[in-house]
Amino acid sequence: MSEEKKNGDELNDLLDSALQDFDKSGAGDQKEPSASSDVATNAGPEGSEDPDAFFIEQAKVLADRMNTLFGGPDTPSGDIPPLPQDPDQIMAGFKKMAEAAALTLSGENSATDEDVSKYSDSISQALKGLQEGSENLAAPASENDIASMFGSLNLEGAGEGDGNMFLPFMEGMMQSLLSAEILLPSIRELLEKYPKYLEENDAKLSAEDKERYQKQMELYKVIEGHLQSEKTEDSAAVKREKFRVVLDDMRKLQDYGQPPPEILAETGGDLPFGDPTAGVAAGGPGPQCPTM
Amino acid sequence: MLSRLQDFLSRHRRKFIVTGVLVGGTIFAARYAQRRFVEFQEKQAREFFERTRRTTHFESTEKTCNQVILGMGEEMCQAVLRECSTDELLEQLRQNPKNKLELWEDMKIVAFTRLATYVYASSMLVIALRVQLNLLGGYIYRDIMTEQKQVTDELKQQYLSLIRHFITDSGIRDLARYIRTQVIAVTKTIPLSEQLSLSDLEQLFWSLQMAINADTRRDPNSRMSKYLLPSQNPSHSPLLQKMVNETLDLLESEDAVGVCSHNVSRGFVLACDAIAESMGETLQHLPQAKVQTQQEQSVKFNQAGSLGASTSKSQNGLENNNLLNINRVLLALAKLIPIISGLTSRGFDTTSRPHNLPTQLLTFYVVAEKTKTLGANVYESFSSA
Repeated sequence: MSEEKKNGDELNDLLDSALQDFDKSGAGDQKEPSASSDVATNAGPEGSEDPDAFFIEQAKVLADRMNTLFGGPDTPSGDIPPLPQDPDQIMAGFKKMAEAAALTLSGENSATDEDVSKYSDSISQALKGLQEGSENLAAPASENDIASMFGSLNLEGAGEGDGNMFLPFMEGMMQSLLSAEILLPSIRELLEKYPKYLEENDAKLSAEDKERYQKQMELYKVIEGHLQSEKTEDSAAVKREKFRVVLDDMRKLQDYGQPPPEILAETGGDLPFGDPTAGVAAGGPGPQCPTM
Repeated sequence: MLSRLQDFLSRHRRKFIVTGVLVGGTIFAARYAQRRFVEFQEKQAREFFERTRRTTHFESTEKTCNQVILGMGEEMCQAVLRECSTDELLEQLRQNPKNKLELWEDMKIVAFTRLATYVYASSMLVIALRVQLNLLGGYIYRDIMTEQKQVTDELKQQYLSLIRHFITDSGIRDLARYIRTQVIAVTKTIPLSEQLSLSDLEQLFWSLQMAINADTRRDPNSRMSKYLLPSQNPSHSPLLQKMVNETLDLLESEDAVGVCSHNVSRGFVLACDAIAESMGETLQHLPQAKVQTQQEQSVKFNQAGSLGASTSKSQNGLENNNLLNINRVLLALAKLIPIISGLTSRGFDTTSRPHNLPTQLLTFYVVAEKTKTLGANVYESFSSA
């Protein structure tokens, strides 16, 4: 009996102490901003007795918030860094203080209206942010074009630099090889032999081969014309141009295949791709190279 | 002599021809390779710039997303406070009524319900907004790349307004009511005079989390979309309906469910840390409370000898006034309720020092790496589809 009564009193004291904790810790759905723990502790016991303490507490809270707002980055941030203190943020802080004061004076309906308004603000903020993102995306386009142009110029310059180390040497060598002094006599000799060969072997050749050899002969004539047009007094640029033309004609010549075996045999048996039979046949009746 | 030279050239003219063709071919091949190399470099540059533009747009979308989360988080906190209010209960308790114990039981339920609702609602809101804004950002990027204009401002407004269902319609209310039923089930066996340590509190939160996650029909993690977005709306345009369906699919995906579960676990850990900090402040600023706690433990020691060892440790900790013993301090559940209720009595507020629990939760969720990865994956999928 006495033990039961003792437990009841104990629980009662526990609950009363907890209720005081509610007041001291500032618990409950107070819409006002939270005060520091010291202020809450000091004002707690007197809160329900002295109405003036409430206003003193509010003044301290406002002062604290002012320091927080204008302190900016220097204010201790605690565990998580605060958002940047730009003018919009400060305006938002002032707006929140005004809203807190309004909430203190008004009831639930005002809160509902405020919530709807802030909700619309969030939507507008999202739309503005997305629009800004889109505009930023459009802006780099011209930058992209400029950078691509720079990249292309740089790359082409590098390419030219690489090529110039190699190409002029080869061009010079080719100009020497395909010059008139070296190539023209060979071309003329071929042109002398082609008509005789075609006349002698007209019956043996197929139409296809005959046409092919005719085209070869015509191309040799064209090359002879180009080579004859070369002169010693031509400038380097003109020489390069004529060289390229001769080079293209030589490349076309390869498309028509091998020259006639007999003509190749007449030039001697030292070519590695000569026909053995033709070589043997040419050995007898062909003109012999003069021996010193 | 010239005749000899001519014969030599005649004999070797084929070699000269072949050499010329080979050299010419080499020159041509070199030029061709050079041109191909230039084209390759230009292609690489274009790919690099496209990647840079997409990254820039994604980062801009992320920044917008963070701002929207913090803006709407504030309203979400207000909604939770309206749904789990303690003002009326406090007024009644201060009048010392007859049904004091019943009111205290209600206060216990409301305190835990509010804390859990904050943890779950913050996590769900952050994930939903990340998915929505990155999906919308992907669509906008695709519009810009294809020179089209499918996503109008009105469509953006309608799509982003869907979250209103969670904040101002029935979403948070349904969530709070479901969590309340689970809180009642978990805490009804714990009397107000029960002495709890910090590890006991963590165990309690774990049990609450398991209970909330166990119901497969109403589990906030796997049924996120039901709380967050409204049901089918026939007035939606085809593109808006397509975006809504894609959002629902994303919120029901394993990735979103996993991220939400992970965030909720981390949220409860943050809550325990905040409670521990408040417990420390309470014990330091209230010497008489410390005395009462010690006396209560002495009484308990007399009644139950089996708890002697832990009680002795607690007494030693209190006498030494050592903060390291915060984990071994026992505090009655009735005295924990003001602490828990105080932590969650105010909503999101970036200007308060130190930050209260809702602010910490929301800020933590915004910077959580898993949530960011989820958003990045969504953006990548929808910007290149």
